Amino acid sequence: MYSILQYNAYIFVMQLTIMNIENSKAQLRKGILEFCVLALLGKQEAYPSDLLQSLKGAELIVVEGTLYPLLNRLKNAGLLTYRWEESKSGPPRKYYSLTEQGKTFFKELTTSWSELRDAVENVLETNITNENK
Amino acid sequence: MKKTVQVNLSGQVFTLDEDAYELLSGYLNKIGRLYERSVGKDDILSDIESRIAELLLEKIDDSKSVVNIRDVEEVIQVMGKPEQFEEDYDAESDEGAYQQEDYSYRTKRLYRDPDSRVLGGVCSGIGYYFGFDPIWIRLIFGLSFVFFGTGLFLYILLWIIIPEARTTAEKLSMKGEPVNINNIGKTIEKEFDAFGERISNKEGAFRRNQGKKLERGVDRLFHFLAEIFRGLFTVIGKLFGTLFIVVGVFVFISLLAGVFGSADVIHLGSDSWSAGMDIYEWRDVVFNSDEWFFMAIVAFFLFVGIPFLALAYGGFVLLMPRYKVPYLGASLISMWFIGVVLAILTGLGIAQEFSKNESISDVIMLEDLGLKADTITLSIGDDPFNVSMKRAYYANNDFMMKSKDDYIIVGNVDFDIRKSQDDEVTLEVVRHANGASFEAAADKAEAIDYQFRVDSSNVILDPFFKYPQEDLLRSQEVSLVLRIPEGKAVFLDEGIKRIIDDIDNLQDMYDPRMVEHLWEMTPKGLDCVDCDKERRYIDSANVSISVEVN
Repeated sequence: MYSILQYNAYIFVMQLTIMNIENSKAQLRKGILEFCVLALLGKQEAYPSDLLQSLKGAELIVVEGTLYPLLNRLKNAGLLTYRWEESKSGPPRKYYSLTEQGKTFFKELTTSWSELRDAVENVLETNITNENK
Repeated sequence: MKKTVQVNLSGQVFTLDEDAYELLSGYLNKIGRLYERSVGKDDILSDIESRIAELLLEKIDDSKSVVNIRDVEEVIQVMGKPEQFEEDYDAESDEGAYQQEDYSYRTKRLYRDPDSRVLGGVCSGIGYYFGFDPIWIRLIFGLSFVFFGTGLFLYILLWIIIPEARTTAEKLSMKGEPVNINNIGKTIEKEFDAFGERISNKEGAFRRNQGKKLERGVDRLFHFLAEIFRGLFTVIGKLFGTLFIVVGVFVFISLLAGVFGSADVIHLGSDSWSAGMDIYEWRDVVFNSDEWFFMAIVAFFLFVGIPFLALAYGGFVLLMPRYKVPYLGASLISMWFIGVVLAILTGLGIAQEFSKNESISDVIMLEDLGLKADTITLSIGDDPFNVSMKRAYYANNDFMMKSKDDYIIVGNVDFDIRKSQDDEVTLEVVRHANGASFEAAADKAEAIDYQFRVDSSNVILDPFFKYPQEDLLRSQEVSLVLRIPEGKAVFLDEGIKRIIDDIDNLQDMYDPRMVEHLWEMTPKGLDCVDCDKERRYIDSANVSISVEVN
């Protein structure tokens, strides 16, 4: 399966030096955000407000609206599914969870992630030893 | 007292102040538009609505049951502006299933560009729309102004039909850039810069200032004219609209009829100016292949027909501005441009077919064929076009053409009389044709069949020649030069009017008047033997030339 995150993280590493930092941050955040959403849903099913709570705590999300198109994209890619549940305190909630496909994808991402993290750390360390500033 | 509105968000009923409602519904509509073409638009919207419902629930309690505008503003702050939802996603990094979503707000629209316009900004706008440098569009329009005039027509119509990009958002969608906060900011910044430049220009050199002033004056004049134009059209627009529709539809249908019916394309005179061939006969004699003919027809339709369709549509828009058809303007322009290109290609193709020419000249000793008399009577053979004597002289043209039995018959033969350099009476027959190569041209010239007959005192020249239809029309021509020595004379039968072409004579007599006279070759040239001496140099219209020979 083609890994969007891998691609994005790769782009990030490649572009870090040539692109402006804001754009790179956005690129990184985008990939990370998808990864984190999958990670959260991998632990347990959740409805968007739960996700928002966790993501906001980790300062991964700026405006809440970003989450919904993202969930929709992942759902269209067959990684997520949802079920409805009545709520005592408000509108009925949509509980999202990973599909089988989503779980496989997440596992692959986790592997790529640790590899990438190691690679990036390596790159960062070599950069630091060479820096004169 | 304030008006309130009740809404249902994900099954929860809320009571909103009217202004809060306006803001919220505007916000949701904007999101809806953003994801209009996305898969799962409804999912996104319902998710967002239910989140908004949750957030609003936190804002109200028993003491405060109505949602006010501040609450909605806070919710929007938390949710973020629709532009921000997607700010991290750009076209390059989105792939496959992810792709569809980002294009909904990237759609280009056709606007007139007020910032870099020469006249109405039509060309510049079209340039943005199709991604060309507007200079090419201007060039094409400019050329069509000068050569055909249809472009001017189309230009004015487009000026009326295409709206001007006034707001920043419109300018962005004209350029096909996504309309989001970032870009709007950038554009406004640019405009400020341009404004600043204008200010500093004013303080700058006097001459430049003058130039700017003039430019602005011209600008204003055009603007003024445009406004007057628009004003006029809004006042009598309905009238013009009707007229446009009628004319546009009528002309377009006439074009269709001209092509698909069998009307004569060139048939102005009745019996004698032209033989009158319909478009299919012309196709058979001009074009190498049906494909080529088809291309020419399509080019013709697009290039000439489209402006009239646009006219009809313009009329329709003038009558009912509400029922504008989206993208029709843009499609009409693209089709017209395709027509321009096709017309140029066809033109070049045909020009190539005519690029080389070759002549074959045969000199025939008429005395070898039995001509003996010192006075030769010249007349013409049977004319397949049956041109009346009255119009015979004018019938000698390239359009005197018809096809018969796989031959093309052309009733256009040029005949001249000159002085022979020796004692021989000779007839030079020059056959000429064009072709894609010299060989092809020579073959076509060789294939021309021209006939004449000679007896002891008569030379009878056919007023036509023919060539095989498969050779196609490639400027085939036949010209004849009769050379007679000094002392010999010719009598021109009336029929010679049909082929006579600029024969030098001492009387300077106009060609068609030279017939029915006896002409003798003298050392100075052809001299009229039987003309009234007084009349010789007076060639006024009321002089009768029906002189009988003795």
